[in-house]
Amino acid sequence: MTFDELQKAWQSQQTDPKLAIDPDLLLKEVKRNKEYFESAIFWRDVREIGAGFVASVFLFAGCVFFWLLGLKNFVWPLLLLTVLGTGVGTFILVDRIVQKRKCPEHGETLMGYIESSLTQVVHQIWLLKNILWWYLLPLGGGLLIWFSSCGLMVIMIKGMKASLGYLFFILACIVGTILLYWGIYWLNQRAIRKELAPRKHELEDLLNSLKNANGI
Amino acid sequence: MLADKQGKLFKQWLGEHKGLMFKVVKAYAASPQDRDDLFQEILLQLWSSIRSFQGNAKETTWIYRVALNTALVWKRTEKRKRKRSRTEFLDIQEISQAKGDCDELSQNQHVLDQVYNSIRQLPKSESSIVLLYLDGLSYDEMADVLGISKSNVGVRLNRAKKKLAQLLKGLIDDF
Repeated sequence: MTFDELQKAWQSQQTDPKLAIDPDLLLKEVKRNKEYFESAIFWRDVREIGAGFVASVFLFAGCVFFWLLGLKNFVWPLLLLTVLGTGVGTFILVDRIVQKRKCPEHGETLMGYIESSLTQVVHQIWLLKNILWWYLLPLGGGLLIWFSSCGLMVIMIKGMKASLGYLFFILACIVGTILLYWGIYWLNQRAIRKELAPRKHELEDLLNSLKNANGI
Repeated sequence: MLADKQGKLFKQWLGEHKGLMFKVVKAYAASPQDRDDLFQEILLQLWSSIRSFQGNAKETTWIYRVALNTALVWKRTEKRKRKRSRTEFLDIQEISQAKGDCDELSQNQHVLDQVYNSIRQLPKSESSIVLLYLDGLSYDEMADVLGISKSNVGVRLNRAKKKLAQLLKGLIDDF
């Protein structure tokens, strides 16, 4: 058989898949699924970003509360945490908006689509690799400063001996925070190793195989 | 684009080009379950892509792009995750419309099954170019779908055909 004959055989094949439902129903289902995904993504963003901003509002309310109670030494670390939390939320929000605009279009050429997908994966890797700087350190640092300042205040008010119980509680909070944040960091680095890096290599290989006509 | 216009075009494309999409599906997914998954994914992406279709590209070029782009980045593991959260709306069955000689048809089908198997063994970028070639697209059209130059198409196609011929040893005697 020659390639010309194979081409003819290929084009004469009966590959009309039989759809179990009619096109109208299928269209309805496609629309419904698309809407479902769009709303799932929208609500995921609202949850993640919204939770950060709601937490910031509560923290700010806490600042006002301490201020009104006259406990001004508690205000500045909490205010710092509020600012850092808002900063992290804003960073995530801006990043989502920018990345949404760069989302690859399915009608692009194969090369263009792979390039856009690769850019997205590279950005995801960058985000997760640097999670320490834009997420963990600001929030974790803010929390640690808050816990430490609470400890200091308790010692200053009650004295060292009387505040041992409080100090143990605060120490447990600090250790818990460090462990939690270490866990988040580890999970993110694992996601890079297990999912994103192989994906990046796959897309790079695809792109190279399309670009290099001579296999160089 | 208005929703009803989008719907009309989707139905029209589905009616006219589902065979084209299914060829892509069969070339990238081996099991019936994976084929259902990939076909659904292509339909979803096709639906979304209609909004940005402005008629600059030919309909078949556009549909090839959407189908191949989806198939190339489609991952079984991802699909399984997404599948849990969406309704299964498809159960595709291939129907062989027995026309003409039955033996000839089954012989042809056997050959095509071998070809699909071999295409799935090719690197993804080469399988896409082989698919386009077998469907009879010109070099210009292939370049348009893939986003590479015409000369690049020639080189890549030649290499892909050589690999396919090796995989189909005994069936193809061109190389």
